[in-house]
Amino acid sequence: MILLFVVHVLILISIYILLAVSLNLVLGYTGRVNLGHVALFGIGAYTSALLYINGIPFVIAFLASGFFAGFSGFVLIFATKRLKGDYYALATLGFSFIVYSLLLNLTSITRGPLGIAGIKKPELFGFAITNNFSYLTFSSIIVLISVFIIWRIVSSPFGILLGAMRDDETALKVLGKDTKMLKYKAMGISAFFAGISGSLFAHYISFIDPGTFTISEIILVLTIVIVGGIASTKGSIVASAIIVVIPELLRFLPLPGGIAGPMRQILYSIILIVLLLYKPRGLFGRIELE
Amino acid sequence: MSFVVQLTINGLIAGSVYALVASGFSLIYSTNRFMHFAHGISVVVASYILYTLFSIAQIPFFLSILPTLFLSALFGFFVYLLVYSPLQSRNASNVVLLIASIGVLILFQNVLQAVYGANVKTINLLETNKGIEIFGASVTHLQLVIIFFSLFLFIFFNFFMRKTRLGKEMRAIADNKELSRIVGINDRLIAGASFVIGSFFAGIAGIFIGLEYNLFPTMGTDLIIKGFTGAVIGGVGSVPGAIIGAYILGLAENYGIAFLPSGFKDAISFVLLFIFLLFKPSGLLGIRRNGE
Amino acid sequence: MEKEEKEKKEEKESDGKGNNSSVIWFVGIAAVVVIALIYYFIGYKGITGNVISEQGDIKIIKVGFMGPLTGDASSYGESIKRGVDLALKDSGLENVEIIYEDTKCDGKEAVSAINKLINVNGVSAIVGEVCSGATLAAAPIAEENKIVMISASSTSPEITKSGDYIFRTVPSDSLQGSFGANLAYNKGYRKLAILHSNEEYGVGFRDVLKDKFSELGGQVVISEAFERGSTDLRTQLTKIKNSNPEVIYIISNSPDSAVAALKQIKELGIKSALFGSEGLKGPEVQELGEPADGLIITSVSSGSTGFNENHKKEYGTEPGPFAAQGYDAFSVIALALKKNVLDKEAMRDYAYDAQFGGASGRIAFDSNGDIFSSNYELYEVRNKTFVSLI
Repeated sequence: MILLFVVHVLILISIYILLAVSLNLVLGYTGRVNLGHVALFGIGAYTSALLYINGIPFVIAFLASGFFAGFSGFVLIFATKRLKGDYYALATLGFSFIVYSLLLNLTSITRGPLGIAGIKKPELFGFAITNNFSYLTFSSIIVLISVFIIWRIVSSPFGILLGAMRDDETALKVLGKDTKMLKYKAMGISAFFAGISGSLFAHYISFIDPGTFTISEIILVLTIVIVGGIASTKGSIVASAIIVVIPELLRFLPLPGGIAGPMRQILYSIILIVLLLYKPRGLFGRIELE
Repeated sequence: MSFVVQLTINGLIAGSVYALVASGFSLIYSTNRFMHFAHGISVVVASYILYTLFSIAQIPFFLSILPTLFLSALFGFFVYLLVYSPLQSRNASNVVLLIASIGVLILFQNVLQAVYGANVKTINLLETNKGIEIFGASVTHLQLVIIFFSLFLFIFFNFFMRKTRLGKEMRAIADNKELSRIVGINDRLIAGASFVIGSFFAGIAGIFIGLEYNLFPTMGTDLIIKGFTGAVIGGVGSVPGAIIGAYILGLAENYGIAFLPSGFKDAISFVLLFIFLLFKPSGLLGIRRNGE
Repeated sequence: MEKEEKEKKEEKESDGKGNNSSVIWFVGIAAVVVIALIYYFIGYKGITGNVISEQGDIKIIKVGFMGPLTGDASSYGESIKRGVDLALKDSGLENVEIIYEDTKCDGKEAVSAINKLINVNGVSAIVGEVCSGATLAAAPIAEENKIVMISASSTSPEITKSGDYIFRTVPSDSLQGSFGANLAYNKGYRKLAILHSNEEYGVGFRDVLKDKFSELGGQVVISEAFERGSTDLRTQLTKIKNSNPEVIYIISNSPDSAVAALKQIKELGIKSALFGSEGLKGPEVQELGEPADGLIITSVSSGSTGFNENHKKEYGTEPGPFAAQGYDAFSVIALALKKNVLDKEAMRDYAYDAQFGGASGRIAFDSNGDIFSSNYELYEVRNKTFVSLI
């Protein structure tokens, strides 16, 4: 029985790894804090769930969740192109509130607060994933491939350009590089992977509602990225495991019912604040969040 | 006709509440030049302190007010001392300060939930009575007090920022920090002072909000979003501007709801926030981050 | 060959800390291999439910309970829990353990809890959840795992079709909606406003109420929704006031929202008659005092006199909302367990065949798992008491 619980935790870790690594792509490599990342996650989750429930084959629903999230990412970049620093961060936060509101109010499409229940695990190429073990294999493979792709991007010349843009955008412009295209590409990729991790999440949890994708979630993902270290793919992987596991261990403590839930959030927020104060490079980061 | 009057009154009530939050936030912003997003939780902490003193410990209401205000100011100041000040000495960027601020907000939101539970709490000071009728619309006494107090705040801050020495020094720092240091203004001291004063006003906001609405731990997030939006609309570097913006927001929300399903009320403010951040981040009164 | 080239590239591009990136890939691939092995050797063969753990010679059978034990719907959860516990005591079963999960009336919590109850605890049946939305979220999982789930209080019409293994000892709101519509119409009201919470329960009830009232010839002048648990309903009430209804029907499973609605109706000076769904028959509304006076509540059965006595003897108080239905839900399971029905399909079949007189009335399920009987009660709130009108 404990084995099943471990499998459950591993699946969650895999999803968060992909979320964190994709956020790190924009955060660490373009230096802009996208607080709307979880909204993209939510868009992916809803896209995949709605399409699949309406009979669209999983592979298409899955890819659609990535592309739709990617498109939303483009819209976000386009809208916020003139903003910098904390104004940019706040605009992305505003974006996530708008997405939340849309999910909540466009009830004819999203079913609003009723949420979408009974999202089935996928059936691919004639092979139905029926239990958590096979789901773990499935999500691990997807995440592994995705992380590998992102890692290759980051190590490529494109990735070096992104890093340069983070460090000094003006200099890069002077050198004649098209920073606008860079931002769009980086966000598009980041959002795509946020979207497909949303799909992985929806099909595992089987029930999503707008309340799943809130400000607390972005704090969680941000904590993972900062703990792992900005611009460190490896760091995000390790940190995801640590940050997801710790509160799950809390389940085994005899805490009164009302405390267990908030305890997780308290832990995350304390870790985040302490880290920003004393160890802003996190575990493996080579630079600080600037 | 009475429908429009009621919407207007609802808008004024909402605007007043947002103004209570926005004024403290904007004061802190204007002298520190970063977003103290956790201001929302200062308000909620104040409400819960009042609840603890009045509803739990049964201390008479008027005796509970001062400790509440004092403790709120202290709370804000401690957040400054323990979180922002160390970060600022390491030259942390505004983004880092913002993230830390959101972290503080989430932290205390959950601490309150762990201590008090997620249930809604009520401060039962006043009886529920039919409100006063104005042109067919209803407004209760408490709501009128809140509206008048917020309007008073507007006048007060106008006076304070323009005529008092402290206010002028704050505006000097908001305008040009380096220059103000050169002329001998102790900006560190004033920055800290603005946290104390701003959080004091958060305390006042918390008392009014606690009485008028019910208490629940997550209301801090809602309040700061609305307060912040109002501040952005009016001009986040100016306290009177923030108050005006808050009223505009309150009225926009409530008039907008006449045409849209009620669920879209929050969406109106999110969209307004987004639009203003994108197209007019200096707000309607055009007060930018670095002064006028 | 390609792999070697990749590894060489990786070695060249290892970061400054000297850690070789290829190590991660090795670990990653190893992890996948291990997981795949686990899957083939254990997972593929499936995990059987109904695991009965043994303590000494006695086999302990576990039954799950899912409901809000904290949060704003906790008064319902606590009340049903008391009914369930009493039923366990009265059943005389010594080897049954109830595992309680606090799901806070939330769909995500319910999903998490039911997964734990089925996979980690190995329950044989579940009583829950309390709120329709949460029940609907958990139902597909109960259905997939063939675990009988009986709700004592989820009344959304959607639950009728939610599965073979899903039952409820409380009638669907398609009936209470009719009852309420008839009630309003027969009292002479022709203009009805609905204020409902924006989730499965509220929406389901509203839909039935709206259809039935219109069918009878009345007019639903406005329908306003509020977010579950919200305590600022001025906007909705302002619009309702503007549409001049003769009666407002409040549908809420959050006592906090119900109380706020009643208070704000008074503050806004709204003069319409007030009806409330059974979610309003709880201690918070009862204690409210003046703003609640005159409210008429349509309610499901609050239990037979015998059950009332039994409850008072055990707990010292009158049964709360849905306690009788909770008692009956557990009784169905208890009766099955007494007959040594442990196999999943057999438990489901037993439930469909069950017929007995329960605490809330006659217990028998139709082919959808809905209960046949539907006795509704009518109460008026006067001076902090629920005065029975029928």
